[in-house]
Amino acid sequence: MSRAYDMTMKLLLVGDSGVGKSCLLLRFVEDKFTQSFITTIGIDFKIRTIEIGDKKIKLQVWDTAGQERFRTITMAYYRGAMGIIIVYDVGDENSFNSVKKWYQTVNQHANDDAQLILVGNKCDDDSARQVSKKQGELVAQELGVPFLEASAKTNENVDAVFFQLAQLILEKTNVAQLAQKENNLDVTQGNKSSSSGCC
Amino acid sequence: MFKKNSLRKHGSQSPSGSIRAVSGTSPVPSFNAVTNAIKTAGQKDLSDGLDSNLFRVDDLHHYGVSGAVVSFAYDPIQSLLALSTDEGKVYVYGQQRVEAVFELKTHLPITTLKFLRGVFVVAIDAKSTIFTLSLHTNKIISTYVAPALITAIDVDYSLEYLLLGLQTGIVCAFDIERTLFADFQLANLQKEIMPNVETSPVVAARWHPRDFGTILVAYNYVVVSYSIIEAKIIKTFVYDIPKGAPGGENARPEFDRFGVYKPKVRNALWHPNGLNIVVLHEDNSLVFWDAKTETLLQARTLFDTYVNVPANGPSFGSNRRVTPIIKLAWLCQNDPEYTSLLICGGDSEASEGVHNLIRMDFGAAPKYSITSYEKMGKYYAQPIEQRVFPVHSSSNIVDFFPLGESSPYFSGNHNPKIVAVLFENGELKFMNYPTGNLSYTAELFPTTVAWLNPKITCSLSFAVPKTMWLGMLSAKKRKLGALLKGGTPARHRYRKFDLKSVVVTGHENGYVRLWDSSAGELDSDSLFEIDISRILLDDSPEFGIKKVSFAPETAELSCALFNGDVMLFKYQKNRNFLPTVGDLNRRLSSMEIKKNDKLLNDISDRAPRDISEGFLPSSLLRARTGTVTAVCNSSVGFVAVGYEDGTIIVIDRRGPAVIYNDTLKDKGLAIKLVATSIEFANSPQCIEQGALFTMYVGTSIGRLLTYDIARLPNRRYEVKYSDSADANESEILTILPLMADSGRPNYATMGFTPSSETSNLVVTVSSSDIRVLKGSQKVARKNYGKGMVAVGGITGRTIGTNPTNSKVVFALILVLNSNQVKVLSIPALHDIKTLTLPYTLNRRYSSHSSILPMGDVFLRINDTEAALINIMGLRDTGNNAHDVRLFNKDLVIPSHPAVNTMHVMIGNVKVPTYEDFCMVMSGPHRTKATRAEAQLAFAVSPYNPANIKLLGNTATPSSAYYDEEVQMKRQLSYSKPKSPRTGKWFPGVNASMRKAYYNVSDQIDTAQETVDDYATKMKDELNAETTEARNGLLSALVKTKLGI
Ligand SMILES: Nc1nc2c(ncn2[C@@H]2O[C@H](COP(=O)(O)OP(=O)(O)OP(=O)(O)O)[C@@H](O)[C@H]2O)c(=O)[nH]1
Ligand SMILES: [Mg+2]
Repeated sequence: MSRAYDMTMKLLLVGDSGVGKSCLLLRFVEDKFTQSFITTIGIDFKIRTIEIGDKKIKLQVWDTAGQERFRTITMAYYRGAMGIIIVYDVGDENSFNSVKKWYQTVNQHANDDAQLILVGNKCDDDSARQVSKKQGELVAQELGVPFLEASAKTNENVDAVFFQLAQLILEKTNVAQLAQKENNLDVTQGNKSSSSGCC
Repeated sequence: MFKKNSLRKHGSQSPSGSIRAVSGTSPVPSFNAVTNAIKTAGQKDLSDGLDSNLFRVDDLHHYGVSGAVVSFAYDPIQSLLALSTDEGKVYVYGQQRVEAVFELKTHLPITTLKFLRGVFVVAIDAKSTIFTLSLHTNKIISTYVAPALITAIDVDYSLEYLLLGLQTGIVCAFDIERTLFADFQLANLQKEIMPNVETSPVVAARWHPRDFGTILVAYNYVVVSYSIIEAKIIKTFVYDIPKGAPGGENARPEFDRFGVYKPKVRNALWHPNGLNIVVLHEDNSLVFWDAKTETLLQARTLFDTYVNVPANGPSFGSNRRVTPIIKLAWLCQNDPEYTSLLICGGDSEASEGVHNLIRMDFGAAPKYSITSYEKMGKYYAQPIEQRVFPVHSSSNIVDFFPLGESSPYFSGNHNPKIVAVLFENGELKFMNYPTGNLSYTAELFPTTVAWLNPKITCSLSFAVPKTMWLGMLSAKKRKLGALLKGGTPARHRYRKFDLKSVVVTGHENGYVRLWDSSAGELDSDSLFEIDISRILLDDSPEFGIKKVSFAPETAELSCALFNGDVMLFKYQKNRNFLPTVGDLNRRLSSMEIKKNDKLLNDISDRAPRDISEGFLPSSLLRARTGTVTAVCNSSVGFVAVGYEDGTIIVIDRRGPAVIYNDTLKDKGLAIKLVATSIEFANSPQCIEQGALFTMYVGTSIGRLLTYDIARLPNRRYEVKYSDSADANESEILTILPLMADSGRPNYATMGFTPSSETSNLVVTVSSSDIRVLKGSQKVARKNYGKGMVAVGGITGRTIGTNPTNSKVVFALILVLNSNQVKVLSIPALHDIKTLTLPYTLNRRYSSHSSILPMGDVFLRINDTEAALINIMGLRDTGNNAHDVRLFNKDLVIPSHPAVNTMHVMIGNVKVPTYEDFCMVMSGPHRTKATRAEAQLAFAVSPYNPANIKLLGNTATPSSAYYDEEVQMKRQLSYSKPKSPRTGKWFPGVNASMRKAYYNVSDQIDTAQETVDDYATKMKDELNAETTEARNGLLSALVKTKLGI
């Protein structure tokens, strides 16, 4: 028996209630879609293993409740997350207006090095669209995060969201590991100098 | 002379007799007759005729529990629930009005509580004293001190043996029917298996869920399955983590000389089918084993899997410490092959505490015969669903208790729909399972439990006309039946009045409840509940209720929240009623009330759509000037609110509009003035100036401010400051406006006909003194020590027995923090009587008490307790009430789950009969259990031959059932429910029998409710202008009466 993967990544889905977070995850993990809306109470947890290059990566995904009343408990889960998906509904302007609020909350509570991505979900439904792709791109640019439109219903870009996020995290960790090696050296040197310092 | 007679009638005869005399022999005296009587008497003393021997304390009812809840138990057969507290008390609840308290002789917390065999409750305190309680006599049967500290306990509901693990590593069994230890004893097996390892206590001991001849015993480093019948170890389970494997989140790299880390065992459980076990270790790893072959199937943590396998790469960010897993339970559905683990702790960083439950839903177990160990490993690695349930509270979760519904077996985890969650601060909450939302619905739970949940933040009590209350009730939607159905209630003991008494409680998480307390106990069937969290879509602590004010005549209610908001409600029909819309519509209403930035916001669109009639929200007052210090919802449409910064806002609900908004200031001295009480009164003397009402504002420095409310030509109202008087020495708690000529309360009413003859007398009650004022003239004064006065109020009583000589007189009642009640005359404030309370009041809460008419006093004792007393002897009926009965001997315990065929085959297990088992446990010379309880337990036992027919047509768990031939023919499956004898989990509980029994609860006490003239008059004073509101309520009542 061996651990069937090289790396574990903790991802988090956030966004207003009803934007389709649970549906995106269900599509990604089980390739299913459901029309009915069952609001998430607390946090759902799902796992899927993916491969990027020669690396097997186990994605642990936390799907948080969008409702205001769960805000405090979900924030406790931000800290361990390496990747955070901020979701809005292209057919709901309010949810798009909330993106900045989510961005701020994430910045306050998540690790500094957490990788973000912005997703405009339900892009299948053109008749209901209230937020254009351009608008999404502009906000993403402003916040400095990558952006995708997706649909849990038609499976458009769902894998892409998770793969792109995992890829970005992978790149980051490689860089970080290199940096850490150097840092370790720095730390020892620093210690030496401080122990010999005055004060 | 008549006075003496009347006094004797009230004082020396039985009070019920005298009351009957009043209502039976004489028509109710009219209002005029009374005023005339007073006038002709020509006396100023409005308490004339009240004699000290009219007063005494009748302790009517006690609400709540004393101490913090520390343990919990549920019995699905008897349909009872038990709580224990850190003050050594055990409370048992059944259906409405079934409640019993056991006071154990211990001041230690009762940490373990279990129902057993229908008739017993076992309670074990923190120092291992075992108390056996009888549900037959409601008494303690025995108290037994264990020979060593008990470190592990398990019960099987159908057995009389408690399985106990001790600090010393010994496992033994306590026979609760004979109250002695059984012969069976098991030495420390870890010592035998690992002689060189330090000795270990018993960490866990568990009966096999389907075979009581087998147990699981966990020690620090080894878990053992053991056959009691054969007196031998069956299998041993030892877990270690090699170097390079991550282990659990809280793993410590402490490797032994073989290079492995052995995390200590913290707990061990059987799978409900008994084929697998799970062991919890101190690093938070959960290790699943095949019980038959000792094969490790899966080692995982909450979010990681295969943690005992060396990993290739570094596990990113895994070096954070998390909270330890403090509890896990293996729950099953009605079909016990469908299982899930419910876990508490281990999901967040240690500093964040424990605020969630985690559920891993495994679904149906794979068929044992066809599955591989690897597949089983995967099965435990990938639950169908894994969810984190938040349980909102500032306090940490310390334990949880599933309320298994289908049977009392499987450790009480058989098909729970509700999970009770216990917190460090003694709070108890209920989570719907498996949806995960919290359930506060008071009707579902025993009153006391609902009373405590969520935590009470404020309370008060008042009287309302009965007709009005019944009108409201008739429109109330009957909701789900109560959770508990057990026991036989005691009869109503007390005489009821024509006025209903109502207790209002404000709670954390935004709940307001109005309880009918007329019969003493609080009745959750006739309860009104306002769920503000549902209206605001938020149940954060800031939405806890700070203060409530209710206007009975208009059915309006105002409540102040902790965040300084005030919400106005009115009892009315819901124009947006949509019965079919469930919770979904919640999303449709505008989500964020924060957008409402005005001072007064219309929130009527937030009325829950599925309520056809009830207390519906109308306005939200958001002043943003800090905490609310006083709120008064008058019966004339005005609501006044005082804030900590001195702001006073008056709203006319008819607009609604803010008609006054000012900040109190003292012109001379630069001291802060804060409103601490507000009251509205009719304004008789100022009628010439056009004033209709007077608003009194009591302040933090004891000054009483007076405002006139006048109607302007444009039909709007105007509030004008008129006067002030330095009345008291401390903050004014209560303002009592009285008619100067009668002493009758003179709260503002719509149809008041002013007459220049009447003037107002105002009694102001501060925490240290009482003042009576007439205009600004000071009439009388009485001093008490600083902070001595908890609450004050007026109560009245009829003196005399016939229309010509009877009158209603009034007295001032004070509740003092010295645990006394004072009765004072009006207006002179002479002591009439001092009564000593049978309770010790906590000053922080005693001001949440109330004085009601007819001598009822609602006492708030402390954080969790309250009581209703009567001080005028008017509640005693002389009814010979019988006590509550808890145990029901007609409810037979269902058959014990039997081993699954596979188990029999592969393990070659001999499952003993109950008789054989007892023989092994207690030896051949076992004494007969002589207590009545033992006989009752046998009467409902599934092992009683007389019940076997009832339980199903198959035999007792005797040899026939284990005939291998027969078994072989059955499908060899790992996944089918093995409800052995009938396939039903309640074979014994004959449905009609149960039903018939529970109908006892419907025997409503038909005791004649007598009429009291004072009450009638009070009701009569509902006048024309308020009839609109009343008619609405009454018509509803009439309609239901007529069946429309
Ligand atoms: N047309 C369309 N509908 C979608 C799509 N994704 C989700 N929905 C619908 O949107 C509704 C809400 O989806 P959920 O995934 O439950 O929403 P959520 O973000 O998890 O909501 P919370 O759990 O309350 O935070 C459901 O009725 C889905 O059927 C999509 O891509 N296209
Ligand atoms: Mg969701």
